[in-house]
Amino acid sequence: MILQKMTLTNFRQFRGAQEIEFARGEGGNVTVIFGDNGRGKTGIYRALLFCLYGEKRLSQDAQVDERELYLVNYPEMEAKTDLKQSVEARVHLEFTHLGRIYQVERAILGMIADGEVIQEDKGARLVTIDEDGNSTTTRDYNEIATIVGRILDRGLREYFLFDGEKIERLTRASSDQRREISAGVRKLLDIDTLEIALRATNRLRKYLDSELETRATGELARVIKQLRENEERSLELEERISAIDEELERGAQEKKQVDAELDKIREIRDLLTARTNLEKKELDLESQVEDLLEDMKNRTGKTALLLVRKTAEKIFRNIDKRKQKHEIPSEIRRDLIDRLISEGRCICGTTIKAGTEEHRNILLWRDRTTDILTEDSMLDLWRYLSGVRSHYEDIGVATEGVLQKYAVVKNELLLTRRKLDELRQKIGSSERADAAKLEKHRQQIEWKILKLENEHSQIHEEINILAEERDRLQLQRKEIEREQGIRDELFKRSTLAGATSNALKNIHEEFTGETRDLIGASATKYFRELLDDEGKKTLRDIVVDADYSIQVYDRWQKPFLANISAGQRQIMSIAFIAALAGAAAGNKVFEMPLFMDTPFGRLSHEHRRNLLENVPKWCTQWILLATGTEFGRFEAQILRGTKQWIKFYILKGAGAGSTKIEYVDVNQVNGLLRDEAEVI
Amino acid sequence: MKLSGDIRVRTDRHYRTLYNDFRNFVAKDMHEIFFICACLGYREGKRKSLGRDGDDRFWSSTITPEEYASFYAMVIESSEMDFVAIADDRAVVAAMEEYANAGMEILMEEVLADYTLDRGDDFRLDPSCSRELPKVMLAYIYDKACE
Repeated sequence: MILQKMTLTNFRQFRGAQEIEFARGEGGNVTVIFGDNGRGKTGIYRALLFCLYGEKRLSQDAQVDERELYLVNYPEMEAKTDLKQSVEARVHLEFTHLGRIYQVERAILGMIADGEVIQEDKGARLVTIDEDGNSTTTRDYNEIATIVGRILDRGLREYFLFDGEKIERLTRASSDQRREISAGVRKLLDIDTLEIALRATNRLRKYLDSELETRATGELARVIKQLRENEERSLELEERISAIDEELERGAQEKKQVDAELDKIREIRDLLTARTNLEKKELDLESQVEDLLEDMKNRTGKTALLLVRKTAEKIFRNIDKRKQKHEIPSEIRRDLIDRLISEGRCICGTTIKAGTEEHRNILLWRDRTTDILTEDSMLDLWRYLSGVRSHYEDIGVATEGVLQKYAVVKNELLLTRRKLDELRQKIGSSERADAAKLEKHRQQIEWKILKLENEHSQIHEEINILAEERDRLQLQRKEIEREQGIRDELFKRSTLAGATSNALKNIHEEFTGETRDLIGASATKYFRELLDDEGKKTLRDIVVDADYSIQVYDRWQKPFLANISAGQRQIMSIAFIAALAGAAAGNKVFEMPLFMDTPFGRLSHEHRRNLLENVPKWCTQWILLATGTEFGRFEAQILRGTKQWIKFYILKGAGAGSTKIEYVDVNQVNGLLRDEAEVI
Repeated sequence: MKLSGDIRVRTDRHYRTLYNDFRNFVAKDMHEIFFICACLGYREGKRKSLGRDGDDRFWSSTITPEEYASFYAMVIESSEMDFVAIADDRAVVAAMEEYANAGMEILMEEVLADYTLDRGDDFRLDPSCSRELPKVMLAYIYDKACE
């Protein structure tokens, strides 16, 4: 299939009739359709799939209601609303394939009634013009689908007409997708014809064997019965293997999802560690607070001594002064003075008469003296107060110290708690429980996978044993037939069907094996041409598995697919497609366009360069739908260097909901492009 | 002044529970609480007779020499330096009981209002909010002492 031109009339953003002529042939095979997001690049991709297959939805529209996808130009429908007229949207595509010209046209009607958009298929037409100029026309949907499907099978369309950012899914295929891919590839390589023949001979052989089983007797009947049972058991086991494969696929997906969830928790691991540390600190500070409160409780009584410090000091000073004056202990005891007064004689012998000056002085002297008990008390008190005084300073310092320390620790505790609150808010509350649950769930999945893998290998072993047993039984059957000299026609036909089936099986295995090797080798070559230097150091071979899923191996021959980037996956998928096209074409040129929407979004500078330089050499036609963020002057310069780029269209806004397609000479495009496109 | 240990020191019966609770939250023993209250009452020059509300609280034997010395100093000062006033320990303790009674009222008013529950005929500490009371009391006493 080589695309010639496409005319869009009132389709999506494209109001009125607008045409794109695609570059093709030796003069240049690259077309760039350039436009900002929302201008209608995907609309062109959509128009192509709509026209060829009648598809109204892309894979990205899976969640969108078909009624909300307006294929008919909305402004045009609005303009006709008052007139209650419908608008016809039409896509006309002309392409060639193996010398024939094909003109496909598909239309849809749309109108707005009571505020709702109503769309309805208007029909399709396919005109085929052969090498001699004879044309045939069909309007039958099924016939159109059959003819187009023969040229580019619907199952294979996404290999050649694809969204660049989604093509990497070839490397991430689920078991369902792998089956689909496998079917598509087998069809492309015409292996399916061989498989149909193989299935037919098997059916024939089984039928003949069942007939024989009813007619045979003795040992031969037993062997034929055993062979049938063997095949039935093998079939049963193969079905179980498929079921296990699916379960394993689901398990792997589930494990991946759990890992992604766990990764999210791991992302907050630092926060969790910080929280654990803060929780420990909080506990430590709380314990310090408790100790300090206990300490303060023990200090309160002592500190209260300071409340009457002034009083105690005053009394101490009073006693101390009296001590210094030798008033205590007194030199003369009060009982002695009392005795002198009562005897009326002084120590010196002088008589003391009442009312004399001497008598008055002695009485005054007596009044100043203290009795012995009071004197002892004063001295004791002086001693006690002296002791208390010596502690006042220490008590004050210690009290102030403990109060300050408490304030510091308490403040630290409050700050710690505030930080903890902030962290807890950031982390959320149930992550530990979630993590534990997820870990447990992950373990269960791993156990299940392990169990399934174990069962898988046991079944494989049993299948191998059954195959050996089958070979042995077939030999035994041949021997019996030979010994018994069976010349029956039914026996002959059964033997021939068995031999044919085995031969076809061998051919199938040999051919598919060789083809896979060929595609793998070719894909590896393309892949290495597209890879950047860094990738070349790590990545080596692309290998195509039995189900046509692809794997890449590193330089130590270890599977490495899980570790490559999205960009590398994208170019790996492109390399695989190129190899597939090459294998399908054999020694001839494979006529198929590579129609890429958003081709470079995930690619680095070097990958872009490699892609731009190489793809025009490999494919017959390359159509790029690119935005300004991925196609700049750098990309334009490289593409110009290939001398294959001859067509450039720009999608320009033309009022609300409308886009105008304008052709620009490739040598005049620099003014429209940015210096640097965005590169990942 | 004999630092007598055989005197039953009395407090207002309304404060019986509070004295017990204080032992858990504020100080080590009854005599310390009593001492704090007496010092506070004395500093403020307030004393209040126990009257018929007196209730034996603890033995004077638990009063430390430093506390006794402070009691004597207070009694001497309040009796205009009459040292004879401390000859009778019972009289000293009785005076201190009155100061302590007034001192507890001051404490109740200035500190404990937020930490106590009034149960009609007595008070008790509210344990739900008394965790920091040792710090509150110590800071209060120290601040008073520094005035």
